[in-house]
Amino acid sequence: MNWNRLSICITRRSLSLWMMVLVVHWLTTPFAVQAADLALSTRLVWGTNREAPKGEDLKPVSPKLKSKFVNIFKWMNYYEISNKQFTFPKHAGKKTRLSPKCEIIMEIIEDDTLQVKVFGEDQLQRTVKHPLKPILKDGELFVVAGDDKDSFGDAWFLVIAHPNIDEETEEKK
Amino acid sequence: MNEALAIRIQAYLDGELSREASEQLLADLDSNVEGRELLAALQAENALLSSVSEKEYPLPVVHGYFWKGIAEGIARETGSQGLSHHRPAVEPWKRWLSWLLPAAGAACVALVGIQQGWINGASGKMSGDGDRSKLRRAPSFHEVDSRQQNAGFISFRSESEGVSVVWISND
Repeated sequence: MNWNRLSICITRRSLSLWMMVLVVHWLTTPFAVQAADLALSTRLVWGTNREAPKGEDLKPVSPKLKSKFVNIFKWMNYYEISNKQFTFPKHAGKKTRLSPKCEIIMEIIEDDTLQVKVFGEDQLQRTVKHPLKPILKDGELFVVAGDDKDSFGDAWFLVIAHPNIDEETEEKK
Repeated sequence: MNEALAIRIQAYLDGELSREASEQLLADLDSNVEGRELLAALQAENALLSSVSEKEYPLPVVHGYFWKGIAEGIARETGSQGLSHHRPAVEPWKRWLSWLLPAAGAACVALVGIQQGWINGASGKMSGDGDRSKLRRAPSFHEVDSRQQNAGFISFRSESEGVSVVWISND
């Protein structure tokens, strides 16, 4: 037997195996990441253990979001201050005002990373970066949160997720 | 009888004496009857034993060893070039196979793991007032820049709920 020929044959098989691995990886990459436009939803949520103040029209968050938050955080009631859905080009920034005091700028930077600039009272407070790919998965949430300065013991939550997160819940039901 | 003479006779029968020593012994035995009788008795005993001893038979050669013997004979005649020609061809094959297959397997497992989020993910979740044993930090998951000095933050992930959190403190 020609051992040299055999070793070359095995090397070719190994290269074929690596090529196959790369193809599988490419095929399993979510198509949403490869899309040019990006669809996201942002919600500003208030978390408290108290009931909603009388006179204020506060809408409770969806049951799916509440079940997630109750399992993670200590607050029992979550109210939606604002909920916005939008589509924007991947490499163009998107500026959105979520409340009179809160404004955010979302931008996709290198390596499909989502960069969120959080403004409070028109002052840049934080810049947060997070990989985009997990956010686009079904049911995945990216949450930026903090204590509520104006209401002791309460908290605010900026929820960034796939726009259809609530619709998927209804379909499953 | 002289013990030294008996030893010489035994050595003679075993073929251990030189030619001169054998002639000397035979000359000595001409004048020694007892020695001649001992020599005759030992020769008779040897003849008797040789007639009843087991015969030697050659073992049958296994077919594979037979051809291997021929190949080795050819290799010996043509020098050691035959063997040295084969060995380097076999070793690269084993070397390739020994690391490529495990490496390919590990790469596939790692790829699937990354794809499914097993490697960066954590299976714990934080509940209520902070069950620290279930809380896990998401390694290198978030980066936070702050304009405020002394501003603290923690980042964690609940794998069960699929929620990544960056918690910013107001301190």
